[in-house]
Amino acid sequence: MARSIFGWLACFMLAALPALAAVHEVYPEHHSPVFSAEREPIARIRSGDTVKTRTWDSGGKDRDGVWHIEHPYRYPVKGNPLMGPFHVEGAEYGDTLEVHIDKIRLNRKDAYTTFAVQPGILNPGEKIHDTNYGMGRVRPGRGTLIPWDVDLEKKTVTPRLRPQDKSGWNMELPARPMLGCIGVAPAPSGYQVRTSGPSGDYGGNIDYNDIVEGATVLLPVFASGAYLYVGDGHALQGDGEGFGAGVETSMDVEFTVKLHKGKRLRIPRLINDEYLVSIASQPEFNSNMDIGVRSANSDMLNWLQDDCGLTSPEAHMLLGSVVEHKIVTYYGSIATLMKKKYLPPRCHQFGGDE
Amino acid sequence: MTRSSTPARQALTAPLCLAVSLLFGHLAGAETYEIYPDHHSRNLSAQKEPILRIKSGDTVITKTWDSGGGDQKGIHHLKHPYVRPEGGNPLFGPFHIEGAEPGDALEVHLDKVRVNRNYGYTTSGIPDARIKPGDTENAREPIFGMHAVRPERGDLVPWDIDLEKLTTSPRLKPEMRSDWKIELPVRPMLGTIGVGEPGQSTKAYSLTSIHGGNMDYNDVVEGATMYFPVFHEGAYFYLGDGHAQQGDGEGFGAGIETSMDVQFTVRVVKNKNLTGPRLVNDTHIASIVSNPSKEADTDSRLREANSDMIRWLREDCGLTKWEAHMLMGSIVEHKIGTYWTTTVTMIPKQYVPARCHVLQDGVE
Repeated sequence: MARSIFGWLACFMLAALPALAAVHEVYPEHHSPVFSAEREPIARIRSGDTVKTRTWDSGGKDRDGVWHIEHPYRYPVKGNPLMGPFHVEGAEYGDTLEVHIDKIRLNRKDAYTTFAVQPGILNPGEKIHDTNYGMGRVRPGRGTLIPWDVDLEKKTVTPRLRPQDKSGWNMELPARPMLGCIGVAPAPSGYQVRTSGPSGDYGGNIDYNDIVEGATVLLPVFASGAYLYVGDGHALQGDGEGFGAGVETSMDVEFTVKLHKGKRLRIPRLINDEYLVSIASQPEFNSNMDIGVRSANSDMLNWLQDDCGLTSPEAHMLLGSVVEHKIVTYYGSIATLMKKKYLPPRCHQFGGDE
Repeated sequence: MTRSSTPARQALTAPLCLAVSLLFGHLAGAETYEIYPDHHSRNLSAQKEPILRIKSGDTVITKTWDSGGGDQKGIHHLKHPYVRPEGGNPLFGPFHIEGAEPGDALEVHLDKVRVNRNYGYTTSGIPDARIKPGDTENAREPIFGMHAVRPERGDLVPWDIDLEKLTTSPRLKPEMRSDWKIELPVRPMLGTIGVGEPGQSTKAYSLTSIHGGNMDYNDVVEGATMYFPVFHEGAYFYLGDGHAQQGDGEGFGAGIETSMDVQFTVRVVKNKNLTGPRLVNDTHIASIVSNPSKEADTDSRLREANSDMIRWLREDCGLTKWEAHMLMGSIVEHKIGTYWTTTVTMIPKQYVPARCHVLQDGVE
């Protein structure tokens, strides 16, 4: 599978833009299963630089259908291969790393999900249909995955259900490509390693369906160099990630990083055209949403006061009257959203004019 | 304060001012009633005397009081401070709907929910239980000012409502303000709406549950269609508790509380056997779970709402179980109605057949 013409550390300075911002094209042929500062960077980048890359699907299959992971998985290898780490020069503990998603595009015609939403998100005792879609239909040794067709022109996705599973209704759904995994190396916690499974204050496998093209993700930096990782593209994903997955596929990804020195975040944030978002990113089943929403609300109150310059009573008035929430992952992460149009323009971008 | 100091009961002299006008619309025999009661109910009981008897297809025009019993003209119909066991959220009802039987569903279309006076009120902020434990820095100030909204209450903040621009702004004191003007569009909704609760009502105040009630879900606005399972012959429909605007989760423990002009039309859907309230609007179908149990949380309520949505997609939309699951994993949306009791599962209408946008009679 050594097919990359760029080699595993390919990193080209394609453009010397003003302020020395560079564009790096990185198409690694190996991945990381962990968010860690212990790994060798696949590229060293600076604030203002742009990275172009391609992510593999959660099972390690790339754009051309080539598998980079063996199936069935051989212990300890598992899913969600990450591209990274990207070492960001000058990033230190207490800074914030801004990652603007310039591009997330579908790049192949197939994808997959699990056979059903997970029983744990339905009433206890709810009967699920036959769990076996067909052995090996998506990958060797798995019978519980359903293939989806991706129409690259119409930008739609459709589950490839068997004739007996269909009612006659057209299940063509619009794609909304997103990144399931985005994060930096977390604070060291003894011998524990953060795999690409859970999520936390460092980001991780957040699986938040607003991490789409045009969004800006803000991550707290813990390790010198930040050590940014991306992966796990979903062509589409419902709130809560009921499948325990999205419509998994490979992606063309382009992002631009910016470093905010001395600006410390407690939890990840996101900014898009419409909203400021505080993301209580927490691993599933370790906490619950009612606790998650509390940290997201507190972070939003801080944001409204520190960056928007509102008073505490004003921040509270907005949180009671026009706040919105999003269930990011069931039993896990939850977001507090505030519409930009109700806020002063000075906080519509992170960090203002630095 | 724009509130009038006129003694409460004088302005509404008629015990039950009820004007009936016949409306010969396309629905033969459908009637429109105007009713402006001068008494209220605090629970959703099927053992109370109906304030009006209507039938499937009929329309009702009324005006709800705010959660403290203040009407459109600022007249208070409740004593303040409350005299036990009296409390907030006065409701209008019950409306007895002819032909509604246990096992049926009551459809209520909200033809109109409009703000009708120039002020509302909220509490002073998000309670400590809804921000990070120990985040004292961001805790709300419990006191805004004694009597600012009503006698003996210091935690309530008055809000101005601009009836022409349809916006609302908190009337914060100068020292509480920054240079930014908070002016928000109103989105008038009904906080309490539902049918008679199952069994005998024994409490003065009904908890929100499978019959609806004080759900405080901010999509219950003009244009929405609600469905409730019927537990008693006649359904015994109640409504009240208008909010000019309310955030997801109802962090205030309230919305921007105010009086409302309301108009609704009812229809009986036979043999529906719903397990809880549902809502349909222009863009979504929504399964609502309102569970007041202390053991329930957002996670557990989502399970119930998801299961009801799968049932909706299969039984009403005619999708297979596989298809229902595919939609639930890929394009489902959620809403936190209140942090305390209400959670919602929504599917955009465009991805389901039109036949399930309106609930039809079930088979006996």
